[in-house]
Amino acid sequence: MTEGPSQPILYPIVGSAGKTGEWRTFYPVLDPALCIKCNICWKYCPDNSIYPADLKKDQVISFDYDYCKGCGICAEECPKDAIKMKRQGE
Amino acid sequence: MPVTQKDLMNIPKDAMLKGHFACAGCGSALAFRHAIGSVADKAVLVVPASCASVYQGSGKGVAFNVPTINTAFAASDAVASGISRAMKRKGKDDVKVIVWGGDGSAADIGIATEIGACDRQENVLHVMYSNNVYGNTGGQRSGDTMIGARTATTPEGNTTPRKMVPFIMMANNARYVATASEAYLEDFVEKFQKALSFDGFKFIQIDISCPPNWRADSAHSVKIARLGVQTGIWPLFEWDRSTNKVVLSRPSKKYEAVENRLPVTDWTSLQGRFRGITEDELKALEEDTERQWNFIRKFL
Amino acid sequence: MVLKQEMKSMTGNDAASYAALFAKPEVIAAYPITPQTTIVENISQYVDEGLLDAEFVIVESEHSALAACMGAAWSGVRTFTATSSQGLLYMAENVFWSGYGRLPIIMPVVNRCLAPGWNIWPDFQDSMAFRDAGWIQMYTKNNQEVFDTVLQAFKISESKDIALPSMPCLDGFIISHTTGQVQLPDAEEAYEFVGPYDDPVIELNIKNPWAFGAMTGPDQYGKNRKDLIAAMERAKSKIIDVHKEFADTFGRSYGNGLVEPYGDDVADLTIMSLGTIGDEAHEAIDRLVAEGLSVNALRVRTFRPFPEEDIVKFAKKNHKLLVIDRSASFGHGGQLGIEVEAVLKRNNVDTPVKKLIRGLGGEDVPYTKIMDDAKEALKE
Repeated sequence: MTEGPSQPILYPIVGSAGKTGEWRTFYPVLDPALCIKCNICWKYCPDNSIYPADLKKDQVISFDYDYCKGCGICAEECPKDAIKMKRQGE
Repeated sequence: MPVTQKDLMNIPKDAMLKGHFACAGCGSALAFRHAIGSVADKAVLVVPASCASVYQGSGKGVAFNVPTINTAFAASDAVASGISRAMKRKGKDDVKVIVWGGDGSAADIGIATEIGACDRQENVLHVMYSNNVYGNTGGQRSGDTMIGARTATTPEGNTTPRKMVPFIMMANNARYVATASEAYLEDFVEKFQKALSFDGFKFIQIDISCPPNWRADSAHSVKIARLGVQTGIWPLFEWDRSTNKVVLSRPSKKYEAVENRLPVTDWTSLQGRFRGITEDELKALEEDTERQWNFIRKFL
Repeated sequence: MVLKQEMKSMTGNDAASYAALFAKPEVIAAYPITPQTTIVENISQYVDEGLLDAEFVIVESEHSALAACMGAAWSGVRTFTATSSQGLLYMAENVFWSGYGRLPIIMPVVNRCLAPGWNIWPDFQDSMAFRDAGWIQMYTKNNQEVFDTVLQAFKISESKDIALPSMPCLDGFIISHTTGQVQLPDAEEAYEFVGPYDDPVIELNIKNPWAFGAMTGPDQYGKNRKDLIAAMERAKSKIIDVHKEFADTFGRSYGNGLVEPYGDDVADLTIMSLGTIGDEAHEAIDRLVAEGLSVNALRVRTFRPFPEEDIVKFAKKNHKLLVIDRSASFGHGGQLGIEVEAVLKRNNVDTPVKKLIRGLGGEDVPYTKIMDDAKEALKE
């Protein structure tokens, strides 16, 4: 097969915008005792940067700080107020 | 098929890879993640100039894990038509051709193309995600901007009502039309899946929060979208051509009755784009909301 | 051994339609505009009668016509459309998108002058406006050449090492609507000449997803453009090769495919032009020569890629060039004239060039007018 023309084609990669965690001013912190593993935060994260909780494994949610932009939706939507936003550096 | 949160977790593969260019709190990226995720093994996307063109990626690679064709602003539905016809020629009936674009293209510059594809009954699903402005270029007024909204080109407040593209598509004989909100993702994905099960031209408008252009806290992204439904500003419904009936979606049912709606100011007060909104503008906004509901009521 | 063909009477638009029919495109999207309309109507008839097994998308605008063809091209299928004038302008951003995106779309342009005022007669201002859009542009002189050129275009554009869309041009009304004699090959033999589009330039793929046309920086963008420029250069020899193969198969040729000389090899005056003026020039030359004057012609068939080498070679041995354009580039004369001057200068050829613009807005350019212009040029 002949090689085709040079076209503006890009392939899927993680981190197409780099480590978007670097955008943050605030970062989410979980109080694991309050986490009821409902995964509502996982659902509402636009950056897919929350590792879901697992009821069977009795595992709470956790954050992918490499890519979390610190938008604060998770803290706002958590029905148990289990997530607090802290300022970077604190 | 009712969609649960568990279903959102059971997708073929991630459609939107982490570390993308969307603004913090972007409702469109959130919607994309779940909707396209649910069909990630068979979707082909057509993306007109829009925020999605940008949050898709750049330079090194893209966040979209599905075949994506970027098109000129007004061209997406025509390109989608061409792809859909080619897929038909190749016998690839399982491939879902989806236009994913903003209100800029679907309400304004691309509307003739969109209505054309609808009129030809092309086998395409058009998802219009609306932040009520041309978000990508800095938040100028679009046809889908509501009364009272301050935008880059309406600094004293927009004076015209929303274009209501869903109604336009109903009038143009689309196969299925629905509205959705980022606050109710299961509802959105259910409508999305339902639309894809039909042949013909389908249209879904999902209202999504845009923290930078709405001058809102990114943390309130979902909350504002929810209030949009709870104040009646954004009715959630489905319309099916075969019945010509509108069915109100569960999150909106309660708010059909004006007395049940939360005060509009609950919604406007969270958004800097309504700072300075006058009593008259609020009243006009409420009246226009009722105009939309009256249109829907005709089909109930 | 040239294949047997049948002589038929048909218009230039019919000839373009037949070429499309024989090439078997799978998705056609078109919007009518005078004087292209009968091409669209012919295609719809072929599809309705089952002669052409294709998806025919009756779009709502030219912008959408080309967009739909692009969608088909991205999906790896053969595609075709046609337009003129305002329609070509209306699809402008998609014309560049196809050229720069290297999508092999075949789109005859039935040349018609640009508004305002409303004028459906021919000049080349429409296609000339897109000479830098990355499309191969060829200007035809008669109905036969329309058929031949459109058929060849599929083979040239779809070849992976070229991958550039093609715009075969034909004068509105003079060619498009005038009945002439066309030798038509057998449909299957014509298809065999083009061949199936089974090694597509590009094809979207569910299993191996990519994004086409996302945000690009100067590096990637520059790489794409450089490759386009190189491909346009390569297209010259591809056009010559395909033209030769066509000549061997069907027995017809037009010079070497890039330029077509007429008359003596060397003369006092060379008339250079595009399209039907090029055909009319032959009539003028025959009569001028009969009057004892020394005139020959070089018709430029391929305008993009610009046949620099062939023009320079011809100009070097001749004494004066009279370039007649059917369009204008303000302040500089006609586009063919400008480019001829440029390549001569670049190659240090001092053969004088006189530029004329004739036929704007469909003004008649009969051989008598060309003879007058030639005599005037010879005196100077």
